[in-house]
Amino acid sequence: MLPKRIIKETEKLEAEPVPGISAVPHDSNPRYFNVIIQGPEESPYGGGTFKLELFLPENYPMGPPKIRFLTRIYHPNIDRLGRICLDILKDKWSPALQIRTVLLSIQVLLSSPNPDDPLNNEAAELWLKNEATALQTAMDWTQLYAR
Amino acid sequence: MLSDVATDSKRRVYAPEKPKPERELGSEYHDEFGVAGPSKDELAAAFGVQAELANELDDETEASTTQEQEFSGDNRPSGTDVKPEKLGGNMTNPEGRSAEKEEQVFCTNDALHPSPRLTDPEEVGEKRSLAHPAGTEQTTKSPRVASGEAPSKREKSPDNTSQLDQLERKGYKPIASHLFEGFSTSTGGNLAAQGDHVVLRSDTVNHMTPSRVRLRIRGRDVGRIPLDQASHLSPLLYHNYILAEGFVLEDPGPRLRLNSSIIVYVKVWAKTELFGDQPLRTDAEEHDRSLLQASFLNLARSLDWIKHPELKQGIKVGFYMEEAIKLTDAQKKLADSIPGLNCSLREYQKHGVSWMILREAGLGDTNVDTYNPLWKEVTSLETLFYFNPSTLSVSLTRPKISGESCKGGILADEMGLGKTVQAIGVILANPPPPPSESEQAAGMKRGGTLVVCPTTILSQWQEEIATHSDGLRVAQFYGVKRLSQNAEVLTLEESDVVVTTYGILASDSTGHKFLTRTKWHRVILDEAHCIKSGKTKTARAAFELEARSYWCLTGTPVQNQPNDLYSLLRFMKSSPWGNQRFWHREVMSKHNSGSPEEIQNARVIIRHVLAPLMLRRTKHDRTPDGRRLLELPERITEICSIVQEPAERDFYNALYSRSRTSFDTYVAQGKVLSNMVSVLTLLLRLRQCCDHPFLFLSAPSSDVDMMKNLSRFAKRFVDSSASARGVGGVEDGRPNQVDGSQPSAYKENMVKEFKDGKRMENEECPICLDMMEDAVIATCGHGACRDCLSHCFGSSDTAFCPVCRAPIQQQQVLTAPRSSRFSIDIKEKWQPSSKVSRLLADLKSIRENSSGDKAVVFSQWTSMLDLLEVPLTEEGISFLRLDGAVPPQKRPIILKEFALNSGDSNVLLVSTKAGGVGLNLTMANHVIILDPWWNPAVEEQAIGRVHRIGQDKKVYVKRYIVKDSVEERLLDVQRMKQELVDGVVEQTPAEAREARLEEIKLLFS
Repeated sequence: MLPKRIIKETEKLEAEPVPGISAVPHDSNPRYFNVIIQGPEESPYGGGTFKLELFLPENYPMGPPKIRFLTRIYHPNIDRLGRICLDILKDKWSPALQIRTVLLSIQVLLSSPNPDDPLNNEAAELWLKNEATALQTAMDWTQLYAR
Repeated sequence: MLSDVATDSKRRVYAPEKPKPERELGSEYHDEFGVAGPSKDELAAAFGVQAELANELDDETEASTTQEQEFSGDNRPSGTDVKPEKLGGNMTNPEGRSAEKEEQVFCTNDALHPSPRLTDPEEVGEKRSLAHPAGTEQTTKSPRVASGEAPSKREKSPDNTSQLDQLERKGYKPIASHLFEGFSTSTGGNLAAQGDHVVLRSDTVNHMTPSRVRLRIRGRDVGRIPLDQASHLSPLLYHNYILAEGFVLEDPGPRLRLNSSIIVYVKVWAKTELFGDQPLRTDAEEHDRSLLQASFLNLARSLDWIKHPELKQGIKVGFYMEEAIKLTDAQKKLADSIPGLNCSLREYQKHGVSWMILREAGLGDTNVDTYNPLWKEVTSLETLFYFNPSTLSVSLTRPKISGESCKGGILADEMGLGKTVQAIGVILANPPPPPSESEQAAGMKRGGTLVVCPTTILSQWQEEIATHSDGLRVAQFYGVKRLSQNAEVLTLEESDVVVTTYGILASDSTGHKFLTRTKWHRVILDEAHCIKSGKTKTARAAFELEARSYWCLTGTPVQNQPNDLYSLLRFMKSSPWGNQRFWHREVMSKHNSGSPEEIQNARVIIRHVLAPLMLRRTKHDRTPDGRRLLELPERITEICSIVQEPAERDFYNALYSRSRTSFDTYVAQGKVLSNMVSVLTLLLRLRQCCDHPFLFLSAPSSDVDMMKNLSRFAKRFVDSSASARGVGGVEDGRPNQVDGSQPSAYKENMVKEFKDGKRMENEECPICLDMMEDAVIATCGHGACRDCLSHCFGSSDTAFCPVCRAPIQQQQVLTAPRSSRFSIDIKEKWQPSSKVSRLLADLKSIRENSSGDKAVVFSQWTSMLDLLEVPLTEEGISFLRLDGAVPPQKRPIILKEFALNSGDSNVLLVSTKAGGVGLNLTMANHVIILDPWWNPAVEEQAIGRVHRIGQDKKVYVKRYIVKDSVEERLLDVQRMKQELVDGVVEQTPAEAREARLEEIKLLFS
């Protein structure tokens, strides 16, 4: 049976949605969420609509949710497969975090990329060498894939 | 009818052992079938290769086939239930195949996405009809001419018997001849004629979904055999483990049309290697072979070659019924005298121990000449071989018992039959052998027996070993002291049995790896269903354990689904079932297929797998002489219908109508399922109200006792921060390095808030997001439910606070000050509820009418237990209490006190959560269940604590149910649930949701 915590989180996500973020559980699997994050306006991802998938594994909330971008995105901490380099999804996970907080963190990550801890080396290098080009590429990708 | 004749005559028609002259072969065919067949020469040549002839014909029919190829990618079949005949049956183009591959990868990766559906059959039909004109135009050459030509060509080909011999020389064994009714996938003339040589071949292979098997005639693939037959055949053909060649039995007519039937008679050869008598180079190859062997047996079963009932229906699992593990008299005596065992075993327990001893020896005794009784002989086919229905493997030689892959098994006796004592029996009966020379040389130290169990019964294991055995040295591998290197060595040196918990096992596997590094003599997982989910850290750690024999003790080997079993098999290193791919293909894919027949097949296989590995007896089993396995004293269950007092009833009614209104609103809005938490809360209140209206009322209280507790708490809390000197702390809610000598302002503030009546239990736990239950506070000042926070610690003593990430220590976690849970002073304004009055009356009558009878009172709410303390004290009934807040070390002390005959505490209050598992309460013989549970199994568990081995008095069970209330309807829900458990009703997830909604509507009705 689904833990009460997941039911509570789901209900709250529906009742009080986070601006710019939607997370809807799949009909046949309440642990699997279709997530949509709007790119933050002030970032190169502004205007983009990014799809992600989120899965709550058996040990949730003792273990972190698994989450991945489905929409292609040019970002130093997100790789080609959409995997996200974010400490709270790994060793810094805490059971007091929730789907809501995780998605907010990802939204923040979009606004402030961290090229010093890269997952996408190519993008990170460009970010450090020539930030303007990097931002432009990110904008181009947003136009191309996230419209 | 044809196939009957064919089966009867096949050995004579194709007897390679005693090759007959070709003429005779032909005439026999003539005589037996009585049809105008091909000439003897033609038939003789039927085995020859006809590539040259076919090549000639190729050019003429090419046009028609290419045209078909253009659209055939559309009609991909998605399962065996689809009749290919209806779809035009054209599957010959490569695009179709690659698309299919993609689909297969897709399916295995993500069960969420439904596999692509077939295109509309009508559309396919339309395209098929388009193909016809092209096909008709191509019919230029008369088939008669073709077959007339054939004999002359065939005379050049080598004679067929020598070719069969060649096969045998190449390492193939003849298996059987079989008549396949195929269908054509090509149109045109001169494609096939009676007597044409036909080869079955497969060019794709996938273990998960059926692939096609094509009929190659005259060098071209002109047809296929039905998918259901092809599914087992194709991987074998693809890997050349099977060859299948023969001839066209019936003339398909002058012109082939799409989908016209092609009946072929084929001889099947199997590669000697398939039978696995020689080891293969790598494990991967071995795994592949086990998959192929299973395919071969499935093929043999689906074509009715093997008529062994073992392959058709499962074997019953159980001791007295089971052939495979029936013991000889000598074997039964194995457990008669076990040195060092302090108690006498019951008859069935002796059987169990004997079985365990035998399993550890690899099923039989050490006599290597004993044949393994699990292997069945197949004599009905042309080559004699053996198969094992429980591993789906085959062999040409009769396997010996020593070949058994997995030592150990699953002891799945029903709760209360004494699994622990049987395990102790085998530990004593089968001690580790002295270390071998090579081990000694390497300085390697083998462990004795490792027992892994849930934390709650850790000390129980230690005690049971101490009471039931003489001289077994037990060590706990638990707590902080295990972390010193020295402790590991001492643990091994100084103990025969090491007891640990699942939590320790998991954390050790990523830390010191002492448990997984040591080679054990034997590993026993108690309550082995703890590892049922194979992906958890605990399960993965269990898979890494190495031992000579592996045991699982569990009363419920399969809790939810067959996959639960997989983890156990994997832990036991059972081959081939511990291999995920094998398990998935042979069991899970069938079980998940949705077709009732396949699900039945999966069940049969599971029964086969378990037959040798598992021993399960229930309390209802009878011994061969017809006695009950376990003669437990009689149990009398009474449902006490309780009529509420008018005042109480009014209160209930008021609450009910208000809840009902809220619920009806949810129903009207169709939002019941999305507001499940609120709905369940409504129900909870109603149910609590049946126990006692006070339960419903809870708010901070200001009674004096509490204030006393509070200042004690405040002192300890402040002290604890002083003792946590140097450990990172929190100031004003933000992580900070704290000066340990001074309690932080944040904490002082908290203490003040507590004094002002703030209570943790009214706050949300950061982990379960529910109101805190049994709140505790860490040194950083953050609170959580005790249960939730203990998850954060896992098996280690330190963790990080979930809220501020400050390091926290388990010893320094404090119980938060608890308010009395009731908004009114329950002592001052005490009012008994009808249930409480009934309970008091019952307890008094037990005390008066019997000598020393003891009663256990179960409730699912600790607040109800709190409440009961008032009237019990008032009435002078002394009692003991066991709930989640009692630490594991203290439980045995409470139980001992309860067991004392001289003691005057004859009542034990137990909360379900605490008393559910593992407790032994046989000192009592009265059970009172104050409130019904959702799940009848939980109630049964609770009764099982008392009504179990060791109980020598009649057991009286009373279940209190308030008349005309939510509790009565809960009984109906329980009944429905029981039906589900009994397998009377099977549900899909959607139906289950629907049923849940119905259940809840019923409760509110």
